[in-house]
Amino acid sequence: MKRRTFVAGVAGTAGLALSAAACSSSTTTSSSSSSAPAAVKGGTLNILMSTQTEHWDPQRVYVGVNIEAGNRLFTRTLTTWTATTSDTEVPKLVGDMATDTGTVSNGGKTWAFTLKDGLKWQDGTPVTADDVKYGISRTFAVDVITGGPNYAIAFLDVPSDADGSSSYKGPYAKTGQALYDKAVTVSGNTITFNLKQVVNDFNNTVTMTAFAPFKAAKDLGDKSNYAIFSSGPYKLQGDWTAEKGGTFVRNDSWDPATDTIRKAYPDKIVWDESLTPETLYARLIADQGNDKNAITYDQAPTAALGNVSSATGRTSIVASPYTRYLVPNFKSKVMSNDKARQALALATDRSAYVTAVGGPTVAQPTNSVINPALPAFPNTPLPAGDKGDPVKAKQMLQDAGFTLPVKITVAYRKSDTYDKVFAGLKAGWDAGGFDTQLDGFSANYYATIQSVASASKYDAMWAGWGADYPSASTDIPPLFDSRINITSGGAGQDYGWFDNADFNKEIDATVLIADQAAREKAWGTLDTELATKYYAVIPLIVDKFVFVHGSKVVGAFVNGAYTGYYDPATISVKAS
Amino acid sequence: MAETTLEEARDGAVAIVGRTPWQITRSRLLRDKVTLIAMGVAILFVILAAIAPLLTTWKLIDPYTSHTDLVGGLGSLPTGNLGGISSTHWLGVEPGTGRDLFSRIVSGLTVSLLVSVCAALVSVTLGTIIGIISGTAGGRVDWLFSRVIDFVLSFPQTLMLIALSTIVIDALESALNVARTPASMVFMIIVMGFFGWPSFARIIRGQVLSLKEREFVEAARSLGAGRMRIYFKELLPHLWAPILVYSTLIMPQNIATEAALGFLGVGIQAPTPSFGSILNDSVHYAIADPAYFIFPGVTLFLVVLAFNLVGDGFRDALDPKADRQ
Repeated sequence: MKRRTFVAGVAGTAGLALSAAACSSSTTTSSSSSSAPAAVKGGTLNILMSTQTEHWDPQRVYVGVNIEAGNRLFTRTLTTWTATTSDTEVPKLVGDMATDTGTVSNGGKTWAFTLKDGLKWQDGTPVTADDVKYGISRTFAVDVITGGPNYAIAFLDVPSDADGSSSYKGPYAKTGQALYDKAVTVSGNTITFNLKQVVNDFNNTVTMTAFAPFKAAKDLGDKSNYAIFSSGPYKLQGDWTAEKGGTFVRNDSWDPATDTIRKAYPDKIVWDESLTPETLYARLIADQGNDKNAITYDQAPTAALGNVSSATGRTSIVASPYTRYLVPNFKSKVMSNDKARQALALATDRSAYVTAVGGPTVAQPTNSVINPALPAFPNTPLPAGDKGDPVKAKQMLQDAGFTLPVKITVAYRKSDTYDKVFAGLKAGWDAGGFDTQLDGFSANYYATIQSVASASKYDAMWAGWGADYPSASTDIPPLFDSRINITSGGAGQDYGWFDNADFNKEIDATVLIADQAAREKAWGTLDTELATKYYAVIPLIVDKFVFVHGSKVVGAFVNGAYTGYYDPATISVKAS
Repeated sequence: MAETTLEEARDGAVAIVGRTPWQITRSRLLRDKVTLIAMGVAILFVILAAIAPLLTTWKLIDPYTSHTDLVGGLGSLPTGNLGGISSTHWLGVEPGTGRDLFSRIVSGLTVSLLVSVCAALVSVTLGTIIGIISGTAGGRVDWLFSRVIDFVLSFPQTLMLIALSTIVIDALESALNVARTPASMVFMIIVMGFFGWPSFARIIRGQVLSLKEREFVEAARSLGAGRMRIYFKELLPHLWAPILVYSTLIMPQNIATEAALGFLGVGIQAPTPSFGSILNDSVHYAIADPAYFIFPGVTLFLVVLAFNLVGDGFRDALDPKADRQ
């Protein structure tokens, strides 16, 4: 359960910004002037990219861009989120391939979905419930189908081996197939999931393309990575070339009558991922020739933000699903002390962070890990305003018996922008009685900070996270439940080795709350406790995504709660 | 002392005065206006670089404090003209943080010059010793050294630096038990020094080949002088001219290499300012905030040009046969 999606690629020197953020009010500055003209069918939409697509295989997709584009173009799922017609509208959960959003029984442990009639693969054969079952089974082949989310393994009622891995080894090895056949049953058009725990929002989970159908006859294992076999309105023309891209044309087997979401306006979609962020934004801002029909899924680099304002009416500044935060390391000698963690939180200068990533238009200080776009957002007050209170922090350290300055080492993911961010944060911490050593690196960042070696090396670590779907159940447990994260091999996503039995009990109690609104509110309370009671996390900022689109693009709206990217379901291009 | 001109000598007003090679060199240098100006600029930069740490301690310059009030708008660009130039920030401020650009350039100068000088010292020392030994020893030793020189020269230096940087810097960090910045400085010095010596060793070897046949070496040898004495007492004093010229010419090359590598993300990295790390960041702002790109770029250009001109001037002055006209 992870998704550190953002900017999977954009190379190191590229000012990779990660600029983006969300705020509940989304007072959005989105100046998309393109809401007025009516959508037109036809034309070619160009998608300009500098980030390389790692996977198109539905079970392996875990990057926001590919979830959004894949789901809207060629990978339909059981349920999905509605396309929005403004940047601030909250999307709703609806049945996509399923007739509705599912039927729950057995107290939240059994979920059933019935497929619509008339669903077809691009070769004209029908999409069956068995295809869905087969698709989900691929997640269990962890040696072949890598990169995707492991919700299927975590939730489906398949027993585990002694080493903690699932007893079902996927459709290639077929070991334990009977166990899987028991957990997922098919009867006619209906597929039923038996879960090992109560998952009250399992119908949200299946919006992920990892729960999409896959036609067994077309499964080439690892070779299926870019071999797109469509169930949606578009199909790949020719082959996908890694680091170059591909062209999508209409899939005649797709029946619009079965699909309430995808409008599929353009005739053709050309995906070009061979660009650099600088040339990409220079081209979008210049708005010449075919670039007038272009959108991008790459955020504007921080250095380009100053030029973006010239693209009047073609700029979208929208809430991103991500929150950037700092975790104190509970295994560090200094940070195992409550007061030290509290002092670090007090001395944190979030305004310097905001300025370094491009100013208040594109980022906003926060003290919650849960993104403001989610219903669970608790809006925890900042401990001492935007700038922090180094004087109080220093006093606190002294009172706790520390000899000042207290030496700490902080890890962050290096980029030109983040060098500046941490120069600003360091100034605040140093004023607050710390002597901060910065260690910025970009290669294997997350793998490094979750390693056992880092537990004795860093006192605090930067990280970023976005919910997989609009529920805080994909925020709090994946990041702070020690039982699913901490192993002998590392800290998992619980980078700070936070391991608290009381807190884990609260998680268990929250999962069982049946009412969605009450459950989300409880997640919010846990979030506030993390920041103000346990001092297990120092939330820093929520950022906004900044995108520019061509002048002939109509209906470029961003689904903030879904992925934070332009939704291809409603985009069209004006006839020239 | 008045200079002896040809006219004066002809008039017999002044007796012909014998001049040492250094006097000849000096008089040549003093007549070369371009070199003098370049030398002045180079010395200014060296002084600035040398006192920058003091200036930082005395708070006269401040490369690290953020001034978030001086940047604003979408992208946090400096407010005000030309990258936020003001009486307190002579070259404006850095976008995103508002750190003083002049202070960062001056501090970057310290780092860049320190690394370049040390690397030049390493290559010149290695080159001189190996050149002398290779030239005098001849035979198999000479062959061996010449092949080693060929070998090192054929290495793709930049690629090596990039490929080795992460591993070696990490290793240095733990071996010397220092932070990342000093470790990467040592790395740059070692690698630039190591790749700088072979071409210089060749020059020295050529000089030694002709020098070792001269009478004074023969005389020393027949009087029973040891190898070390011949190397360092007899030959070395005749090699100061090429050493001086080469040292001044390799300097700008090293400064440019350091900047290029920093630009590529290898070597000295933020928060320590160096030409490379400043340019690496500023190039993205070439359109949004041109001043931030131009000032460090022009400074780097001036430093490299000044040292190049000084090196050329030295060469002209030291080598009477040189004819660049």
